[in-house]
Amino acid sequence: MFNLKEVKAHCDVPCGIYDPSAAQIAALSVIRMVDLMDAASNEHDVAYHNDMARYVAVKESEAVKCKEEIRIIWGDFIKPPHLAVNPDIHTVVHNIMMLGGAAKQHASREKAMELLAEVNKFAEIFWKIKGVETKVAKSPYAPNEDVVYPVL
Amino acid sequence: MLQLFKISGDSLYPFYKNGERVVCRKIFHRTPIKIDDTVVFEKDNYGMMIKKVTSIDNNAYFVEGTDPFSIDSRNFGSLEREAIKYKVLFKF
Repeated sequence: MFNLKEVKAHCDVPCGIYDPSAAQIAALSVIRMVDLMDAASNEHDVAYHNDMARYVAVKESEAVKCKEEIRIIWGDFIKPPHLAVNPDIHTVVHNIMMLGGAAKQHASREKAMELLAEVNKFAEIFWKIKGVETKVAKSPYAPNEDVVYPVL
Repeated sequence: MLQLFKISGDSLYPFYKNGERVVCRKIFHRTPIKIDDTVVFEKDNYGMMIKKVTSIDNNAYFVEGTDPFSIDSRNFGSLEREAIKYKVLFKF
């Protein structure tokens, strides 16, 4: 007589903790690793290879972490109404995905800085959605680059 | 006109729990919709959803779940009346 349909009463994962700071720190770490690689000694001894291998490994993992942190906020927190008022979110996220890949492929400070700039753009949009004012300040540690911080 | 729905999710807990079934009546032009009514509506990208009406302003119906992390008008804004398809009569 009646057919039974399903109706959704869904929730987000009940933690609600989203913060782009982890992605910003990861982007800073990528820059820092490139700086350390540039500053490494030219004596290609065992210590040099050991240091270089460690810098590369950290650069790889921080670039991946940066992409992952942004993906989670983008996929879980950003909703259609946010997109309506911030139509460039998709482009910014896609840029971060590409620049994160470039940060792994290259040892380019320029590319790493572009990654940080896009992550900062994302952070600015995120905090705007949350209704939190932001400021730009130099990270109080190397590589001492501009970071968008929430004013809390 | 009646319709049965099975609830998927806990955003209306403890009033309606995951897996419970509800009997709903179809909304027609003159069917009253009041604050605190539990309604079923169609939402793009989400499908058929069930939430409570928490405020009404002209043709803008704000719907919410009882769970603080419910996906509802706090995420996608108010609904127009035409989007609301059914009103819950009782659960069983």
